[in-house]
Amino acid sequence: MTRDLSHTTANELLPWYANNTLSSPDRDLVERHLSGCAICRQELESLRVISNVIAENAEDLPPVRASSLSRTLAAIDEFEGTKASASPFWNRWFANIWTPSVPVARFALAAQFALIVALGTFLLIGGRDRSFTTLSGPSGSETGVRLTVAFEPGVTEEAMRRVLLESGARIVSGPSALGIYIVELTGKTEEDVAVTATIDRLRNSPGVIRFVELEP
Amino acid sequence: MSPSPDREREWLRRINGGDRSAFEELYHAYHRRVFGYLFRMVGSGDRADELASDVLLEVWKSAGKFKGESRLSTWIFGIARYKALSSMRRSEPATVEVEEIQNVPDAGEAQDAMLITADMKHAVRSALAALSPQHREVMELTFYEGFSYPEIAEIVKCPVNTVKTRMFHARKQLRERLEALETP
Repeated sequence: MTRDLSHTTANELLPWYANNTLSSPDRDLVERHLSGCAICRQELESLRVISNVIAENAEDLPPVRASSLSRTLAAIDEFEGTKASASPFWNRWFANIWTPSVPVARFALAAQFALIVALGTFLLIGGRDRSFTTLSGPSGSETGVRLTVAFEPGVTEEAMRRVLLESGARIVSGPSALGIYIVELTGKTEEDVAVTATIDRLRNSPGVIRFVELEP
Repeated sequence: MSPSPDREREWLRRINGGDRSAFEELYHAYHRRVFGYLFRMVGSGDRADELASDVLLEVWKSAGKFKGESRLSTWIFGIARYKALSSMRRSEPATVEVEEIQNVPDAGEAQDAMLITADMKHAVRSALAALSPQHREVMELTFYEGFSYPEIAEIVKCPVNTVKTRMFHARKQLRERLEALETP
């Protein structure tokens, strides 16, 4: 026999009508149906008996171990410990730096402030009219013709310096493992007539220069 | 009596901040219920005890993930069910419930009402014990834990119609077993 849809729907919802968890529309539907359906009213009574038996059965549990809570708390401690040690060292270090304790943060701020005051004072008072230069003189920001030069064995530093100064040259690199230096004729280009003359002068420095060529 | 939703939210907020005393309050409110549910699922007190610890440890770990869209109890029972099934899967072959692939039957087929009186409680108890775990579970979640059918659907991770279908089959099997016990 085919029954109407409201009977099917209401019958299906009876267990949750019995446990009082239906939404208002569902409850209204079931109550309207129950008022005219003896079968569903009987079924509801049966479900209530079953509900009581299940509740009694469910209370019949073995005793819970007294140590259950302490074991769970120990598991939490272990989890927290593992979580802390699992994070990489640099993460913890960075976290400490990024979120320092209050005393550490105060110390860092005070040190920073003192450093700023000290630097400011130095610039205002001590930093005036002080100029300095490196031992090697001006660095090679200037450009010029570069030459490959080899000095004679046993040449003195004084003789090297004299020849280089007379030619307007300065050493910018070297010596290499073979004793080769790179010297620069500051402010001159390869097309410059004076360059050729300088190279000739260097080549004619007996006892000082072994060879000199334009750097390739 | 269940704690109020506000109180439960406060527990979770404090647990998320590492407050062990809030965890102990939640533990005392839920441990016995969770243990009972797990015991009925796995059938062993020791195993249920271990799983209950796992469930509540999971609550500690995931307190910040609870969005409050459902009752706390629904969330915790969902975790408990997952843990129980994982444990059972490790020790038993998986089973498939046939009715989950069938259409919802006409409830009218099962309209011969059960006439159960107080002196039949023993018979009901035996018939309940013979139900499949999935059928017994939906009955217990309804009649002992007091969940609505949408909440049960959330706990067991299935559509609400599947919950209704399981309940239908549970009632039908219960009725048939009781009739068989009545028949001399």
